Amino acid sequence: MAEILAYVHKDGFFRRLHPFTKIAFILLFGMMSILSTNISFLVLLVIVIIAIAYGSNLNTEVIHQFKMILAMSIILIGLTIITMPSGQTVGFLIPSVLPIIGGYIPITTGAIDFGIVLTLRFMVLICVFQLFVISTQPRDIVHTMERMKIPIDYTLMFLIALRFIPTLQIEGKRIHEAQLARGYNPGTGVLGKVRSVAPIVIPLVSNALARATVLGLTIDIRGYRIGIRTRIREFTFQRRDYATIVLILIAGSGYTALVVQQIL
Amino acid sequence: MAIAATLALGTDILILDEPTSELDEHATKRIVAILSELKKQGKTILIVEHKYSHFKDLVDTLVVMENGAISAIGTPGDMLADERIRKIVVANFSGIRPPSQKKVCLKKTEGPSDAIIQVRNLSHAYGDLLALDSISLLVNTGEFVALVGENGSGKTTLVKHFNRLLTPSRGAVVINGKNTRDSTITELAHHVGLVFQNPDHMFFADTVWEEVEFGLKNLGISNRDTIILAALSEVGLEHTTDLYPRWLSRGERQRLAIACVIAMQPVVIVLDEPTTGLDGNEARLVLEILKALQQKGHTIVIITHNKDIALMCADRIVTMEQGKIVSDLCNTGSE
Repeated sequence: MAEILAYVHKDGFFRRLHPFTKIAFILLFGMMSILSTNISFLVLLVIVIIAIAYGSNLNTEVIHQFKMILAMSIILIGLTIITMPSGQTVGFLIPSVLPIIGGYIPITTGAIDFGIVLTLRFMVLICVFQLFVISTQPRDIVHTMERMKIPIDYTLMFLIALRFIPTLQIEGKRIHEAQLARGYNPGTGVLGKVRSVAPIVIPLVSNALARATVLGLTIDIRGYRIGIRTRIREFTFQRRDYATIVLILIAGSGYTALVVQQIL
Repeated sequence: MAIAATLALGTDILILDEPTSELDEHATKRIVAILSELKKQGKTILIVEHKYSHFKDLVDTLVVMENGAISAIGTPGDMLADERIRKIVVANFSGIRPPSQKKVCLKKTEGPSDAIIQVRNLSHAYGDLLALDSISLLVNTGEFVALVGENGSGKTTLVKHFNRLLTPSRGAVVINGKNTRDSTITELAHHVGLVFQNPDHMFFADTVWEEVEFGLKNLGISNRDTIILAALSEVGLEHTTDLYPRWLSRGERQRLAIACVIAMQPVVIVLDEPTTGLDGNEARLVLEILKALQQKGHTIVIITHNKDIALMCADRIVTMEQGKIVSDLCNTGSE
C-alpha cells in the first residue's frame, strides 16, 4: 500500500539537491501560488511541478494525490458557488425547471473562477510540499531545520507529526479490518456516518497517544537533546544547487516584474 | 536496529522491554545470540520477557514481579524449583490436548469435500509481490490447526482470505459452502471470527459489555444478554462487564477480544498470535479456552511462533514458507 508522505528511496535530480535549495523552491512556488489569481499562470505552475516530478522519478507518488485533490476541488467549487456569488449567472444549483424550489442558488462565473483558483493553489502547495518530504530523508530535514536555527523542540514536533501520517494510515487500515471482521458495517445516511466513526477513531487516537509517548521517551533515552551529533552525510552545495538557486531567483524576479507590470 | 542505536551511545547497562515479542523463532535466536555476545563483553543486561525458555542460558538472576511488587528473586535454578513461580515464568501447555483427542486430524488436500474451510489454488499478490503462491488447504469441522512459519511467510495473508478482508488474486476460498467471492465481509462474519494480534485495535466502547454487544448488533443477533454473559464467562471475564476495556490487563484484553468473537458464534475461529505478550499462566488460560471451544464443535486455526503451543495443543501443524505450504502434518503428539 502506498504510504502518504513517507520518504521514498528513488534516485533523481530533485532528491540529490541540497535541502536548502528544496526549501527555497517550496517558498518560491508557495508564494507565487498564493499571490497569483491568474488561472493560466497557476496551470503553468502545476505543469512545471509535474515535469519536475517526472524528471525526478517521483511522478507516481505525485499523481497519486490528484484523486484526493479532485474530490476536494468539487467541495471547494461548491462552497464558492454558495458563498461568493459574483459576475454573470450561468445557471442555478437547483435547476429552474423544478416548480417552487427551482431557480435558487445562482452559479456565477466569478465563483467558478475563484473555486478553480483555490483548487490550483492547493494543488501547487500540496504537490510542492510532497515533493520535498518524499525526496528528503527525515534526518536531513531535521539537520536542515537545525541549521536554520529552529529550536529543537519545534523541529521534533514537526518531524513527529510528519512521521505519524503514514503510521496512522496503516494503523487506521488495521483497525478498519479488525472491525470489519466483527461485522462492522457503516450505515448509510448522515446518522450512520456519524455512528460509524467511533469504532475506528477511538482505537486510532488511543493507540496513537500511547505510541507518541513511547516515541518521545525513546528520543530522550537516546540522548537526542544533547545536541552534539555527527552526521552520516553532510550535504554540500553542488553545482546543480547553484544552478537551481539561480533558476529560482530568475523565476522569482521574473514573477515580480510581471506583477509590477500588472500583466499577472 | 533499535539495539544498535542504543549501543551506539556506549552504555554499560542495556534494558530491553520484550525485545522478541512478535518475532519468529529464527529472529528470536539472533537476538539471543547478540545479547550473549554483549554479555561476554561485560555489559549488564536487564531484560523484561515472557519467553523465558529462549533466554535461560543467559540469565544469572531471575526476578518475578506480581501486582507491582517483586515476589521472588534468585538464581533461576532455585526459583524454578517453586511450582507456583515456575507456572508464571515458563508457560506449560502440557495436557491441554487430551490423548483421546489425538485422532481428530483429518487432513485431505484433494478431491471434493465437505470441509469447512476449502482453499483451492489460492494466490494473492500485493502489487508485484506474490504473497501466496497456489495454496491448497482443507480444514474439517472441529479441527485445531496451528499455522506456523517465519515472519512474512504469508500466514496472516492466508487467514485474511477466510473472511474476505482480502479477495483472491487467483483461486478460490470456500467457507462453509460459500465462495468468499460471492459473500460480503458481514455475511462471512457469521461463519468466521478473526482475532487479530493486537486486541487494542478493536476496543472502542465504554464498557466490556458494550464491546461484546457491538458484534452482535452488527449481525442483528437477538437474545443478546444471554449470549454476552455466556461468552464472557467462557473466557472468565464475567465480573468485568462494567469496566472500561482498555483498563483491563494485557491477558484480560486478549481474552476479551476472544469473547467478542465467540459471542458472534462463528463456526471457525481464527487467531493471529493469541499468546504474544502474555505470561505463562495467561497463555495457558487462553489455550484452555480455545481447546474448550474446539470440544464444543468450533474449528480453531491459530497462527503462532511458539513451537510448544503448536506441538502441545494443535491436532495438525501447517508450515508456511515464502507464500507456500511446505509441510502439513498430523500432530501425533510428542508428549
